[in-house]
Amino acid sequence: MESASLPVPAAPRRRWRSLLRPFAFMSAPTALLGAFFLAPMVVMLVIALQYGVLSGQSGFTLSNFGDVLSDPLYREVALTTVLIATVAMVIQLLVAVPLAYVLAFKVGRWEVPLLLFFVLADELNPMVRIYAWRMLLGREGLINTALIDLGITNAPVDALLFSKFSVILVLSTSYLTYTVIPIYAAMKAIDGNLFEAARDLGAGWATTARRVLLPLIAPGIFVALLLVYIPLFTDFASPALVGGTEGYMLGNAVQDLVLESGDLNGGAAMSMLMLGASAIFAIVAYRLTKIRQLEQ
Amino acid sequence: MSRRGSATRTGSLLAALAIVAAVALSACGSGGGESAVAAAPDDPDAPATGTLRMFTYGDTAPDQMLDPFREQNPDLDLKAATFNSNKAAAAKLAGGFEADVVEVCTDEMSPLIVRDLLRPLDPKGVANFNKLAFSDADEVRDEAGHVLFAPASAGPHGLIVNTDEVPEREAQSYQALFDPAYAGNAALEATPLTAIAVAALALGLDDPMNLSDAEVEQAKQYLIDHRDQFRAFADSDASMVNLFKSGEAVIADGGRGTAQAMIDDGLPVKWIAPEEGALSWVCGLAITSHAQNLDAAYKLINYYASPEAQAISAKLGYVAMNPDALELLPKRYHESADPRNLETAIPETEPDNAEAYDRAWQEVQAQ
Repeated sequence: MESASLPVPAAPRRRWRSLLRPFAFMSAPTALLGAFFLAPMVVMLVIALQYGVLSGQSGFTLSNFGDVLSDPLYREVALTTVLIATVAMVIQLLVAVPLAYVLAFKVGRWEVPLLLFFVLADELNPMVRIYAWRMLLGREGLINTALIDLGITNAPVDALLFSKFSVILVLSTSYLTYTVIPIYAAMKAIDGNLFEAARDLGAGWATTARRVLLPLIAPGIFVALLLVYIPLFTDFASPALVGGTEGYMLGNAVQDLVLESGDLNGGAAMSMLMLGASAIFAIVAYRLTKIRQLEQ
Repeated sequence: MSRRGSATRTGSLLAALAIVAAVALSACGSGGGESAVAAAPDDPDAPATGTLRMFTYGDTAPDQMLDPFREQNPDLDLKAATFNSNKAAAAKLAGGFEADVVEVCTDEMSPLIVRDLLRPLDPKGVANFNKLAFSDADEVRDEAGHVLFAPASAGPHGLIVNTDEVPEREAQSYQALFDPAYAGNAALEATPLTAIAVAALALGLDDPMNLSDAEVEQAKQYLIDHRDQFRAFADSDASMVNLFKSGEAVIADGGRGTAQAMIDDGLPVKWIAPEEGALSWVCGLAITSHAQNLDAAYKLINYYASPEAQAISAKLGYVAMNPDALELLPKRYHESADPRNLETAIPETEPDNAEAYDRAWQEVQAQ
C-alpha cells in the first residue's frame, strides 16, 4: 500500500520539468535572436512601410515597394545583379567542388592546415582584399606588367579592371571560403568506399561525380548557396571599387538611396524585396537539392 | 488551436505591435526644434565645455583642421559624424539623429530648410562674419533674411589633368573629357549635379544649374553615349586621387582641393579652369534646430571663420573664406586661396528640377 502511493505526486512535476527544460535552455538564445535579429528586421519592415521623413507625409504606405517594383531603372540594375551574382556563384561552385574534394580525400595530413589557410585568408579585411585586386588587375598592376614583359600583349589589358569581369572575379574570390567549407563538410560525411564501389561497377569519374558525389554533397551546395549567393546580391563594395562604369548592382542602389538620397524608406523597401527574393530562392534551392529525400 | 498556442501567438503579436509602434513613433522624427535665432554666447572668449556634435562631409573635418580647435578647448568633447549629402543629413536629423552643428552647401541644402532642421544664427556671435567671402550672398539667408550659416569653405570645380599625359593646351574645355584621344582614360566625379553640369557645359549649354528637363535628358544621353570614354566614376576625392596615382585616369573633372591632394602626393597634375567657366561650390556651418550646446557651436563656427583655420583650409586646396588668412599663407597659395577667384565662376546652386538631375545620373550609372 505504502510503496504504491509514494511516487504518484512527484511524477507529473518531473515530467513538466523535463518538458520545460529545453525551453529554459532556449529562452536566452531565443531572446537574443529576437532582440538582435528579428527586431531589426521588423524595424526595417516598418521603415519600408512608412512615408519618407523628407516627404512631408506621415503614416504607412506601400508606395515605397511600388516605386521600387515599377521603376524600370531598378529592373535593369536587378538584371545586371542577377547576371553578375549568378556567374560568380557558378564559378565558385566550379572551383569549390574539386577543391573540397581534394581537401577531403586527397591531401592527407595537409587537410587541416589547408583548411585553416582558407579560413585565415578569409579574415583579411574585405577593403584591403579589394584594393589588393586593384593593384593586381590595374594598368600598372602585376598581371598587366607580367603580360607585357612576357610579350603576350603590347599594352595593358584594360578589361582586367573596372569591368564586369573584375567584379565577378573579386566577388568569386571574396566568398570562396564560404562555398568550399560547407561542401567540404558534406564530403567528409561520404564513405570513401562508395567511390570504390562505383569504380568496381564500371562507372567512370564523370559518372561517379554525377551519380554519387553530387547527390551526396547537395546539402553542402545548398548551404553554400544560402551563405554566398544571397549575399552576392547585396554586395556594394566590390562593384563600387572595381566595377568602374559597368558594375552598378542592387547593393549600390540601396547604398545610393540611403546615403546619397537620404531615402531610408526606399532603401529599406528594396532591401525587404531582396530579402523576399532570397527566401524564395532558398525554398527553390532546398527543393532542387532534394535534401529531404536524402535525409529519408 | 490550443489555449497555450493562442496565448503565445497573442504575446508574439503584442510584442511585434509594440516594436512597430516604437519604430513608428521614432520614425516620426524629433520635430519641433527651435526656430528662433540661436543666442550667441555672452563671453565668446570662454573655452567651450561639454559635448559638441558636428555633422559634416567627410573631407571637412580632417585632423589637421580640428586639432588646433581641440587644443584650444581641452574640456570640450568634440564628436564628429559624416554624411554623403545634405539630403542624407536631413533624413538622419529628421529621423532623430542629434547634432549641434551641421555643414550645409548651397547646392543641396533645401531639405534641411524645408524640414526646419536649421536654426538661424546671430552673425554678431561670429567675430569675422562680415569678412567672410559670400557672407552677403542670398543663399546664406532664409526668406526672412536670417543668417542660416557661416561660409566655411568654397572651391572651384574644373579639370584635373596629368600634365605628363595631357598637354595643357588641349585641356582648356570640358570637351577634353570627351575627346576620343583620352578614351578610357578619363574619370568623372560621381555626383549628379556636377556630372550633369559638366556634360551640359561640354555640350555648349551655358546655364548648367538651370537646365530644363529636356536639357538634362540631353546631357544624360551625352554621358551614356560617351560612357566608354570614362575609366571610372569617382565617388570621393580619395577615389579620384587613387585613379590618378594608379595611372587609371589622366583627365577628370574635379575640385582644386583634389588636385592639390594629388600634387601633395607628388603627381604631375594641374588644375585648370575650363573656358566655359569653372563651377564653384560654397559650404558653411549651421546650427541645428535641436542643438544642445550653443556656446560650443558658436565656438566652432568662430574657429572655422578665423584666419588661422582658413589658412589650413587653403593649404588643403580650398579658397580662404577669410581674406586675412592670405597673410598667413606662403605666396604660392595666394592665387588659389583668393576668394576673388570664384567671382567669375558658375555658382553651384540647387536646380528647381534637382530630382531630374539625380534621376539622370542614376540612369547613367545603371547603364
